[in-house]
Amino acid sequence: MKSPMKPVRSEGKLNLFFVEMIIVLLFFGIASAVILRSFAGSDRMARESRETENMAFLAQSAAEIYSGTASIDETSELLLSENKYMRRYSSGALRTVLITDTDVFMTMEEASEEYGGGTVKTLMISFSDEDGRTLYEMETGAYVPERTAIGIE
Amino acid sequence: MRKMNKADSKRFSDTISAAGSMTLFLLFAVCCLIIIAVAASAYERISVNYEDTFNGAAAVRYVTNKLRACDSAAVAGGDVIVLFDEGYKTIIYERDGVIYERLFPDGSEVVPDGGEAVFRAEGYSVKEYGSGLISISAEGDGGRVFKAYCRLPEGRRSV
Amino acid sequence: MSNGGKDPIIGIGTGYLSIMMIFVVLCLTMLAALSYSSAAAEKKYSDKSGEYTREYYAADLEAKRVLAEIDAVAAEYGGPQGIGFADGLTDIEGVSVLVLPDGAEVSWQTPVNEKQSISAKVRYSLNGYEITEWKTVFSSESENKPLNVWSGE
Repeated sequence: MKSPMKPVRSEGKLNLFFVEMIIVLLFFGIASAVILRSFAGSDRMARESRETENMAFLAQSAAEIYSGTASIDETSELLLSENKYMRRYSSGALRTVLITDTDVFMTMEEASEEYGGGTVKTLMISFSDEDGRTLYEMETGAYVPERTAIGIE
Repeated sequence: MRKMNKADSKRFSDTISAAGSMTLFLLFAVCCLIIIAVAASAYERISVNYEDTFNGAAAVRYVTNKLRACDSAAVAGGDVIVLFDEGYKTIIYERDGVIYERLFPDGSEVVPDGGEAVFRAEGYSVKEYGSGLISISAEGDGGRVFKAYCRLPEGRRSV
Repeated sequence: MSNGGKDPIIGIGTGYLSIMMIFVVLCLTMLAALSYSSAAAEKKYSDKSGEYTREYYAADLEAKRVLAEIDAVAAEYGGPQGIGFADGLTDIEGVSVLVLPDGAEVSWQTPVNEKQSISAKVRYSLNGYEITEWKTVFSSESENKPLNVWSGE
């Protein structure tokens, strides 16, 4: 590429440079705005994907622990002991709220359904942000037989 | 004398204009470079995230789904998982940051070697907690760790 | 290039700015497009995995509810050898019973999504029940559906 430095003969040429500069800046500003919006959108999508992945893995972990223990306390204890960035926000008999490392609230709510031979304990796991907006939720459960079980998965 | 002064002053103003235009040009060039560098770093961040998801997270999901779809399973020392199905066994193991899978017919000796590479995942590990509960974790290319708990299917067999 | 017989004044020629701007805008557009496609693919994958996790645990819970219903029948009729155990199970949708000399094997499937189901088998004996199978299988419809491959014609 040739050097952009050129001998300039008159003011006319210089004025032409400034006119070009203004047009280029105008066009560049518009193009940048569009491209920046696209980047911001991509970044937001990537962040949301990361959040969804984290929430789905946490929910799966809680579900798997709960299916064996049928206890909301044991589930939250194991989750907390294995994820050092998580902390407890509140806990009750049937409801425990944890906070993840990204300040997302993980709420676990327990309910029971009585059957003739035992109880199906359900656990509703939901994730919400600081504004209370639900980001991800799923339901899981465990069957606790009264008398006949040799083992349950 | 007056004429000379006018020519000198014109020349001086031309020089200032030329210097100004060059400064503006350089400024524009530097700004362009900075913008390209920022955009490239943003792309790199998104790309690393993408690699993380499609290696680390996908590897953990793959192993989890395999565990859910087999008849029974066992952890055979270290990070080797053996999946039992009717007529064959499958082992999933890690070597040098790569997760391998290999099928064996029933009755043959299970060796964690010579399998087919399925995922690239650093720091792959399997941890047992008792009562069939295990955790599977893997690291993506960007260093993000993915971890999920899973329960070994009922009817564990010895390897 | 002279400037009235004196040294020429150095300036920037016209067009260079435009060329530079076009190059930069092209670079940015390319990076933005690549970022967007990566982020969109990742988002699609994360959403699908999150959705599958939700579907799987919902099906798992449903299968446990069926198990609870079966166990309630077993409790009502005094185990698998009680009169009316097999008949009692006919009220539960999708459950099939195989009567064995020392008990019964009860099996059922709970759909996870259009392609997959959880296949469960429980073996009842005098001592109680044992889960012999609890795994995901491809639904019969999707298994019988031929793959859309080129037949060479």
